[in-house]
Amino acid sequence: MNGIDRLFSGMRTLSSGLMVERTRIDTIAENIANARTTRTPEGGPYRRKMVVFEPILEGALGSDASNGVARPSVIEDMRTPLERVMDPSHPDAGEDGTVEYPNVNTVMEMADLISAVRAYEANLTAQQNFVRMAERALELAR
Amino acid sequence: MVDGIGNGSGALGREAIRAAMDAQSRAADRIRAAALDGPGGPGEMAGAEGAVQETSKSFADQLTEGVNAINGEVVRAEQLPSDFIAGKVEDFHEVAMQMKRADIGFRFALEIRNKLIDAYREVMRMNV
Repeated sequence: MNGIDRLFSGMRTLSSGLMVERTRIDTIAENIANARTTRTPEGGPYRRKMVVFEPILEGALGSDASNGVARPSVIEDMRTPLERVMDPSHPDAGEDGTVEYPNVNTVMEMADLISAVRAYEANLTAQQNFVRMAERALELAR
Repeated sequence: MVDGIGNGSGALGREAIRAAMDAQSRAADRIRAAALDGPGGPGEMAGAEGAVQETSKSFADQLTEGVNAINGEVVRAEQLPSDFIAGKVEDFHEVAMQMKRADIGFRFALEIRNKLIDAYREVMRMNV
C-alpha cells in the first residue's frame, strides 16, 4: 500500500460499505420483482434471496487490502415457508389445488429497502465527512 | 545607547532569520516525509530529522516519486468515467471516490509546491 492509498484507506473501507449496500438493494429489488413468480428453472416457486455480510481483515487479500466489508454472498431463504394459496385454476397448482407462492413478504422487503438506503446514506455521509476533513486539513497549509 | 540598541536589534534580527529558516526547512522536511509515507509512516511524528536520516533517497527522487503517485491518481480518475460508460466499473461511487481522491491529492501536491516556491522566493528576497 503506498502513501496515498494509506491516506485514503478510510474512504476505501466506506466504499466497500457502499458496494454491499448496493448489492443489498439489488437483491431486494429482485425479491420484490419476483414476489409472485411461481416457476423457476430449478423448479418450484422463486425463493427469497438474502445477503450475508462478512468483514475483510487487514492484509487478507495482499498488501493493498484495507479493512471493510467483503463482497457479500447472496443465499436463498430456505427457512421461511412458502405461501400456499388455494387456487385450482392456476396452471402451477398441485394435485390438492394449492399453489406455492414465493416466501417473499413485500412489506418486509420494503422495510429492508428503507434500512438499506439509510445504511447507504450513512456510508456516504461518513465518506463526505472524510473528504471534508481532508479539505479542512488542506486549509491549514494555506 | 543608540549604538547598543542597533547592535542588539541586529543580533536579534539575525537570530530571527536563522530561526525562521530552520523552521521553514523543518516544515518542508516534515511535509515531504508525511506526503510520501502517509500517516503512521516513519516520518509522521518521529521528528523531521529522524525521517530524513532514515530515507536514503534524495529530495529530488522523493519529490519525483510523490508527483508520479499523484499523476497516477489523476490518470486513473480520467480513465474511470469512460470505463464506467463502457461498463467496466460496477459502482457509481467508485468513479466519484477516485475523482475526489485525485482532486485532494492534487491540491495537496499543489499546496506543497506553493510552499516550496514561497520558501525559494523568501530566500531570493533576502538582503545580502
